[in-house]
Amino acid sequence: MAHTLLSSINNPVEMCVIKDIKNQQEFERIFSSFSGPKDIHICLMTDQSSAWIQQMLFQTEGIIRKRALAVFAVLMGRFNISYDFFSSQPIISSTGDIKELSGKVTEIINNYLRIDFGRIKPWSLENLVKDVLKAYHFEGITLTYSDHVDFGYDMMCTYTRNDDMLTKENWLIEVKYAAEDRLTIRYIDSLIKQNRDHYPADSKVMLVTNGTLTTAIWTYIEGLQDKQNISILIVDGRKLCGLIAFHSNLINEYFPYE
Amino acid sequence: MSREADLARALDTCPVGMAGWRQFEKICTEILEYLFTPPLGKPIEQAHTYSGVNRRDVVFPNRMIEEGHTPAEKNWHLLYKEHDARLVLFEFKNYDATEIGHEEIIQTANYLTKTIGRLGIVVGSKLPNDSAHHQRNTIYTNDHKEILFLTKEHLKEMLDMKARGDEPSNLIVDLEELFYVQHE
Repeated sequence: MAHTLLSSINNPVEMCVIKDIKNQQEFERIFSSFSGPKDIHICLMTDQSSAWIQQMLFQTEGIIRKRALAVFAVLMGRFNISYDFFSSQPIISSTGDIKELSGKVTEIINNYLRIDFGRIKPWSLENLVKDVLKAYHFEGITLTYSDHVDFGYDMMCTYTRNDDMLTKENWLIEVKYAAEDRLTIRYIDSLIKQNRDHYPADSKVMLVTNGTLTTAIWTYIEGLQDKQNISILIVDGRKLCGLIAFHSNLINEYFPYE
Repeated sequence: MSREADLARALDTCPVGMAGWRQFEKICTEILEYLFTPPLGKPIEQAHTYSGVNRRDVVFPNRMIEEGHTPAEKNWHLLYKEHDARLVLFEFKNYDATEIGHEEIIQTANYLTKTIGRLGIVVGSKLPNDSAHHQRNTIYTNDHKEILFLTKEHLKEMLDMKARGDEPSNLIVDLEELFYVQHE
């Protein structure tokens, strides 16, 4: 499969086969050894259960996030796992044969390679985020933009969890176009205060940016969760690219071939 | 292999402790020069005072007295404005078993004189201990001197940032804001 993939993906990628890994430390060692942040890493996972792989990816998210690595886990075998909005890392699987899986991987990676945020305008990023949310089953998305009033957030929407209670969540979404204004601690702090004053207490906050956050900002966000029980979901540029890559219609609309 | 990857590898292979202290200073200075010059000026290593009593590991001239246009120029101007950081001081601590404690922080603060400014950065093989964190809070409260802590991981993060076209000094500014938020 590796050979077929390498010949069908438009750019060079780094590919590794991960098998017989016993623990998180071994996973971290592998991710630490990956080269530059510009490369794409495809990990072909074998001989493990899908649940175990998901758990490992979740536990090693910090190191992947810190280095802004583009890592795609490909599950070798017939797995029916859909890549969920809240998953830690993109997982590609298929219930079909190896040829089908290979086709799926090729399509997603080639989609990923077409993403270039430099080609879209700030307002277009907001539309893109709206469409990404729709694609991942967020509902009732309302843009809150007004010339007269600063609502603090760019859009509001709801999401129904796939749990026994089908819990419905209210989400406040803020989009930041990194080339104009990057996410800073001061900015996040002011958003939280705004949220506290103007929105229902159970509203969840999501910040979406096409840029990358420094570890200092991640430390701050983790501190909010640990010490103040304030939870903010961050979708940074790396995560956003992963989400978009799974939807060819978004790629064709926002990043058409020139 | 890219320059960033070469530098990260050199940092990873540098022995911790006494055996590698000179090598650690050399590679860290090389990395900082690669990341921050320009707009910072070329590093002045082992910069000592007239009498020779004080010897700082390395200082980088910061001539960003005006704001400038690029993110890097804006960041270093901000640090100049907030701390009179005309020279940016870096102290290296390649400790192995020994902890980086409050004494090292006091020593760094003593190097932050009127002519240098009030910004010092300790670059360590590991994070300083709790007592060092408390000490830097006290120093900031009493003298408004700010001491930031960088580890090898931070240096590698900034190399990654540079490799993907992000501005590495954003991390310095973010660490500064994190310090402000956590200061008590």
